[in-house]
Amino acid sequence: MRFGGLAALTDVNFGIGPGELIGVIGPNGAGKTTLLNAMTGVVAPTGGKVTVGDEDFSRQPAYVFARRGIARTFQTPRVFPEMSLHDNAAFGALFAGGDLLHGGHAHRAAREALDYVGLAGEERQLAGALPPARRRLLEIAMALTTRPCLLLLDEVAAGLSPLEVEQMGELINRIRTEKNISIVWIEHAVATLMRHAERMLVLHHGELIADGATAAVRADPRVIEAYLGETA
Amino acid sequence: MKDWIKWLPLIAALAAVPWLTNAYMVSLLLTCLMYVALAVSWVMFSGPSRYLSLATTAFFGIGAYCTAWGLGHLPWPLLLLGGALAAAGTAALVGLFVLKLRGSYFAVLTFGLSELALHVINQTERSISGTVGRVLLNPPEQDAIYLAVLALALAAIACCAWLWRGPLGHALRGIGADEDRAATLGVNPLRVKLAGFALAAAFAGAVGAAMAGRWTYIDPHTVFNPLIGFQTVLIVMVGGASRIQGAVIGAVIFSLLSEFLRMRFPYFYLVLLGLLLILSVLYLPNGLIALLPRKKAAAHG
Amino acid sequence: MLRNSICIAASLLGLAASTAALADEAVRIGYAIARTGPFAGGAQVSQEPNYLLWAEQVNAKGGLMVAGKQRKVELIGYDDRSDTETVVRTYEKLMNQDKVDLVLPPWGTGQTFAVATLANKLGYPMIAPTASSKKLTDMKLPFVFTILQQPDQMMNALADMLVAQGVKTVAVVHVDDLFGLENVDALSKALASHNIGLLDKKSYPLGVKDLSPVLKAMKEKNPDAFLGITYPPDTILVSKQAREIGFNPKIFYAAVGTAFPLYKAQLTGNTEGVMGMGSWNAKTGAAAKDYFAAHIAKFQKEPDRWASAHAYASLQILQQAVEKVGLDRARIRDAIAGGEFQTILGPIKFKDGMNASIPGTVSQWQKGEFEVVWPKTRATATLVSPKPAWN
Repeated sequence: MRFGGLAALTDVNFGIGPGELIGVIGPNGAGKTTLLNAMTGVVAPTGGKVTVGDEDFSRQPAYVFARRGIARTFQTPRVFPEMSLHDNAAFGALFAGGDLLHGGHAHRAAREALDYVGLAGEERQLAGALPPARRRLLEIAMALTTRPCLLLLDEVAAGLSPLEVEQMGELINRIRTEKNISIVWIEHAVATLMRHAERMLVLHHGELIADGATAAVRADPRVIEAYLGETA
Repeated sequence: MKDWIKWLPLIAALAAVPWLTNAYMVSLLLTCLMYVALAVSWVMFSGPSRYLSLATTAFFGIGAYCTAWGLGHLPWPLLLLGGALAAAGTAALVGLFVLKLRGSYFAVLTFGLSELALHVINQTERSISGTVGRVLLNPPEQDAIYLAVLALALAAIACCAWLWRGPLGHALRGIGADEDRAATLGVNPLRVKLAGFALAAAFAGAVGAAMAGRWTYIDPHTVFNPLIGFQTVLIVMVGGASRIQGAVIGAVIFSLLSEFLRMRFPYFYLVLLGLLLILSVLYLPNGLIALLPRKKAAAHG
Repeated sequence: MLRNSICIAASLLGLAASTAALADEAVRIGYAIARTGPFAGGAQVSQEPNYLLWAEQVNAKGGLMVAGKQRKVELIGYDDRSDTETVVRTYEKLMNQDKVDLVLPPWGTGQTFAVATLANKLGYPMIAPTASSKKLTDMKLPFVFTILQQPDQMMNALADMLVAQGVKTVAVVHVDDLFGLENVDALSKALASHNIGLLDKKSYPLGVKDLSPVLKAMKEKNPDAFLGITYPPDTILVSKQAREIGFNPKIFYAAVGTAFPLYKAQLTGNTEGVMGMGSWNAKTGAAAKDYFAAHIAKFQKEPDRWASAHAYASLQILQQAVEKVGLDRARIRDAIAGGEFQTILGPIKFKDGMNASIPGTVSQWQKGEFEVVWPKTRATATLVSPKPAWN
């Protein structure tokens, strides 16, 4: 993956199994968001390959990823501000969740998802009026209605209070266990992430310097040197 | 949905107008209805998607030429359908290229479309008949045109309401707010835009096919008149693009007001109209529609 | 919404009613014409000024003589924005609602077409001063007359003049609208019948901004005559660009707009020998001279040497017809169709709805005046050939 002459990601190889919760860490500019963009068709990789199941998705547009069950959130939440929470949540159900021809299903899916993330009772409110922390929850609801098998979360805990971070962790865990959705979770708050994720990926200058069980990664000298040593 | 029943008396009154008043009143209402149909067809796509289209003139002209070519060979109602299909087909074809562009690029290219259509038709006419301009020898009666345009305006309103309520309208709103985001939620943006653009074009094409019957003589410069497209966009600016009523109210008020000013102040009406437009944009940026009380958010459910 | 529209519609109605009451005694004459939009340029040079001038002159003399009684003329003129639907709607208002006594035509062939059937249906006679199309005259609408020379007349005259000058080869450039195509069609036939060689024929779209490549190619072919079937802006364009590249054939002809005072102003000192569509000037007759002076006195500018006088003449004809038969419009039509009228262009009568008295003409700029040079019966000066070099 390259931007102009600069390689944003090189030689990053990993797979995701069903039901896994994988944490991704790395300092600013390590390529975390670029990785998510490549995994969702938002930006096509200049080299390398993205496969979903047995299919090559490297050149597929974003909507094909979404329909194949890969959902994501954004570092700065991107909700539709002039639509109600309900309409935001129903969006994915209609176009990626296979409910296009059954409008009633989309409404039910939207209500359930809003309820699931803790936004019940605010369906009629406009998303633009929502405080940033709750927009993150709405984005998760929007992702859930697409009926994903893989959910990619981009710093959903940033800017939350310690209590909210804890609740977010629980929510993500519940999604994984109750809905059996694989999760890739990028976060700056390394300690939180390590408490929930059983596997960690560490990116540094666009390279994958560690991939393994959380405990092993925590003890990896390269990781400590490159990243953990400075912050943890 | 029961809403529209209360409009039935108004619709019936409008349909009876040709039998109640003189030809000028019919023709004034015809102008209102023509712009209602054009403005509603415009907001249908451009309202939610925020793609500012200046192609109304092109679609109108293409529709008008369907009547110019077909009158005398095919029944007129069929020509309205032909105009709709030709305009929708053109929109779909051209949309494949221009709908990949956003903002002012899209606006400029859609404006260029009417110039392009004008020259294509000019060339075609010259190579087929050796001349341009067609005389319509047995045009439909004014009342028939009026009723047809009334039906088209109502159909445009019904279609727009249906579209905005359904998934396509939802997708267009998503595209208007954040196109890439909508794509990550499963919307195929190009396909949705093509569908919306073509549907809107169909109405403009049918209106052009209907209006052509009024003019006896059709040539490319008459029917590809940029004024028609600009006025449509102005109407939506004045009325408001967020609700169908905005386009309808805008079209009626704009048409009547410009006619009134043109008659009352034959030399200064454009200055007055310009002033009113500037005031309305300054003080009612969301259009006249902002003055109407909004019903409780009529969302899904 | 409904209430608003009713209010405005009602005030429109009220307005119409009040003007009707005010002008009870006056003869009300309505029209729509381009004051804005692309047609305004032509309409405000050749047509509307003459309507205003005529009405002022008639009223200055006490008015129009209707059935033995002098009545003032009241003109009701609206801007048609160069928009065809607006033209149609306005004439519907004038004829159906305001019920004006008479109507005058809008500007140009297309707009005249749009109201011709309407006027014919409602029985309003109309003498079109700026409509030029075989398609229109072929419709043979009994209430519609054309007073300007039609394409085949103008082009036959042009071809005859070329023959008389010994021209063997020509190059033609033309605008690709109805006017250009009908004229070029008539011209091609006339050239063929006189065995004049057509070395090059090129069309260009309305609103063209550069014709120098076309002119350069024509210069290469060295024709005896350059013939442009052009509109005012293009007429100025081809003249300027021909001068720039030194293209100076024996005959240089550009159709519409050479007759405009604007042409002289734009070509500053380079008009000498240029030919174009024109049919009169102040030397045509005493009446023409008076008209010329009156036009300058009212508008501080000269009338153009083609359609302006035809527009004015059409009003003289209407006036004489009314003074003969009163305001019965069917009888006015018959009077126009059957009579002969004294105008600033000389006596005029109609045949098949067309001006049968004024043949096709060619005019030429000579010493700052646009002189009629062909045919001899209408000439105000002798033709100068070959064209002197551009300055």
